[in-house]
Amino acid sequence: MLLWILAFFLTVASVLAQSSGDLYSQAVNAGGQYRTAYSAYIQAKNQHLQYNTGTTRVEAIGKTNAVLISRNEWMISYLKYLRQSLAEVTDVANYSQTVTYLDLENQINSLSGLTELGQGDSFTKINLASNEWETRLEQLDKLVGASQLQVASTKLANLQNQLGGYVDGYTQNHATPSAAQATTLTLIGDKLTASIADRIGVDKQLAAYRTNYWSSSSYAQALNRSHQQLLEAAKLLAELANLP
Amino acid sequence: MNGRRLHLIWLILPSVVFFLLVAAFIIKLSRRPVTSTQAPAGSPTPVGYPLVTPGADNGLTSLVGQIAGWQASDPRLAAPPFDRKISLPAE
Repeated sequence: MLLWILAFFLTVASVLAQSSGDLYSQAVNAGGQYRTAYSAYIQAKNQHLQYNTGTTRVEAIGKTNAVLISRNEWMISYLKYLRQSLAEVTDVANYSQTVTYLDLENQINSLSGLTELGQGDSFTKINLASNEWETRLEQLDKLVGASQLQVASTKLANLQNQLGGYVDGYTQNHATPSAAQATTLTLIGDKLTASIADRIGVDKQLAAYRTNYWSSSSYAQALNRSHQQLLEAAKLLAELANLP
Repeated sequence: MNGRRLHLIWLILPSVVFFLLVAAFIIKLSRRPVTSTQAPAGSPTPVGYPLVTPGADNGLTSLVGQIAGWQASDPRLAAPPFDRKISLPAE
């Protein structure tokens, strides 16, 4: 009992200590194992279709169960990596970021609890288990899309914030700007404000990704627009700062 | 003797568990970025993100480079390209 409790807490501590780099390597390894299992499944399936014997049937069942487990493991590894990537850039106090983080957590737990997956002893049972797993993909696709955009959006917010600091610094150092400087500063401010507005619009959509209309591509476009405005503002400020 | 050992275990066990929990919490916190709860005065920037104290150029060129390198879709975050339909023929 004592050892069990210690092992449990050591496991928790080691999981918390894993960086996104470690988890990325694990996901890559899981991908390699899946590809090996997938090749074996295709081979066993084709053998059974060709020879249709008891031996090929057992082989097909074994290899298909194995590939279903590998696919699930790969997905779990990937979601863990995504969750850690999100944790490393986001703020725990931010609601929309917490929504996707908790959903990743729930999906990881749910997929990890699929003990019946890979236990099928007939083609019908295997197909049922596989089909049930595949019905989760629609929701998982949305969650993955929302998480990826959340990471991108937060990185963009960080860059916007940094540029805002530089704009403030420049304004403080040039208390009486020339007309040209003032006009450029206004333009920079407008571009930065537009950039932030676009990004905040995406953040709002992400917070309600489960229930609202979902379009990864249109939100990515909005983030790209936001990025373009930010880049123009940053370049303008760099030019301004380099003027004598 | 056995009874005394048992008591000792129950004295040590909560301390060990508490220590591990605190260690895990500190590790978890240390992996989060340092953030500020207040944006600079007059800045149209959001709160809750890491702040940079600006100087002359002092990293502005580097920041422009970072902004230019930002991508909406990070290739390292791409979803696993597994087969979405795995099945066996009907028996």
